[in-house]
Parts: sequence; structure tokens; C-alpha cells
Amino acid sequence: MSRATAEPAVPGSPVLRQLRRLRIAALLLVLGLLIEVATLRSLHPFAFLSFAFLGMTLVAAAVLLYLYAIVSD
Amino acid sequence: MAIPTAGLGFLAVATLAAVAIALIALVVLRPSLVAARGGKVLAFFAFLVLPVVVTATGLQLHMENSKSTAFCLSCHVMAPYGRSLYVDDKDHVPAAHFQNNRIPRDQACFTCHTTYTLFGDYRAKLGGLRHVYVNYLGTIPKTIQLYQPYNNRECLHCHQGARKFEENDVHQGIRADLAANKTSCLECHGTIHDVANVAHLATWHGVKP
Repeated sequence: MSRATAEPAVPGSPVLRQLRRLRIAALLLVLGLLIEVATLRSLHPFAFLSFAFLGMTLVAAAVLLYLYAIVSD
Repeated sequence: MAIPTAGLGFLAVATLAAVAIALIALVVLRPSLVAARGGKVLAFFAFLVLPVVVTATGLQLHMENSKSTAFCLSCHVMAPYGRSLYVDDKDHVPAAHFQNNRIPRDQACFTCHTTYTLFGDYRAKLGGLRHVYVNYLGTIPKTIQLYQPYNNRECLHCHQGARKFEENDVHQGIRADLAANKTSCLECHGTIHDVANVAHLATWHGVKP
């Protein structure tokens, strides 16, 4: 991520690719975290399934995308 | 009945999630921050550490919440089982246990069905998923039955060693069979969730303060 300031942000550059991945990861994380917190307000199996299959999946995907973003390019 | 999620656990998870979202927004809106070492650490916490902590803690809270009686009774099909806990009949085993605080009221179902759905092995967990599927998309059977015969272990967990149980003449004669599950406790104590008749039975809802 140090290249964010070291390289000009030309279209298709590694810096922009990395930023795009971070933005996507951020979006997935925010969605996942909001779903996780919202489901904790409910005592219902559907809330648990939403947490497990929707919230956790989004957070896991976001974390993996973040890790990919910082090690790639 | 108090909702467990209203406690400190929920507040902690919600606060951590809010902090994570704020930090994520900061990193996305000011990407130049991550050029410095401190910014990289900040991003690492925002994108990895905090979300993992929130998810792990949230999962733990959900597991705790799913032990609650309210969770089990949240499906409409379980309503008669919930009503059976209030039947005004001391021979009605679940009601006698529930009304006399022999089991914690807020975890009444889980206390006697410890291997059910989320709390058993992988087959039980898959069974739990199947229950949700049947509840929303399938055909709910008229009579709900356990997958396995009721295990005496759930009774003996509390009753074994208890004076009233041990000094009972009948129990003394079949002690080994009970422990080995050869004789079911339900053979003598057979009035369990009488859901076919529970709607017509008198109920007891405690002494009004």
C-alpha cells in the first residue's frame, strides 16, 4: 500500500487496482458487519442462519480480498 | 423473559463493529493514510482484526442465545411444546420440571435436549438446518418425533445421586438398566409434551406478585 503515494494513479496501475480491491473489501465488510450486528437483536433460527451464511461469508470474503490486495501487485 | 442479546455482549459487539466501520471508512476515504507504517497497522486492524473479533464474538453470542427457551419457541410449530411447560399437572414431566425450577426456565428446552440441532454432532447440526428448511419451505409433520429414543443420560445428569432418586425402591431395582439405557425413564414417567391435548389442559402461570 505504500505505493499509494509513490506512484501516479494512472488507469490500470497497481495502485488503482489495490485501491479498488480495498474499496470492494470495505463494502463487503460493512455489509457483513451490519448484518451480523442486526441479526444479534433477534432470537430466531433465521437470524442465526443469516449471521452464519450471509454475515460470516461476507466478512470472510472481505478479509480474503483485503489480504489478496496487500500481497498482490 | 429477558432477551440475552440485550446484555453487555451485544453492546460490545455493536461497539466493536461501529469502530471497525469507522476505521474502514477512514482508510477508504483517506487512502494516503496507509502509506505510513501506522496507517498500515490501522488498516490491518480495521480490515482483519476487528471484523474477525466481531464475528467470533457474535457467533458465540448466537450460540448462547440459541440455548434460550424463547429461541426454541420462536417457531410457530413449537408453540404447543411451550404451552406444555405450563400444564397444571404434577405428573406432566416437562411442566413439573419447568414450574418447580428443576431446570433453568430460560434454557428449559436445551437443558433436557442437549444433543439437539446446534448442540449435537454434525448430524444434529444438519438436522437443525433441515428443521429450518421444513419450517419455511417444507411440510411440517403432524407429529414431531425425536430422531433417537430419549437418552436417560439427560435425566440422570441431574437425578443420579439425588436422595429422592436413589432411595426409591423401583429405581434401586433397575439402576443398572437405567444407566445403560436398557430401560427408559419414560416407561414410568411417560407424560411428556402431550401436545395433542395440551390446548385443552389447564395451565399454571405462577403466583402474581
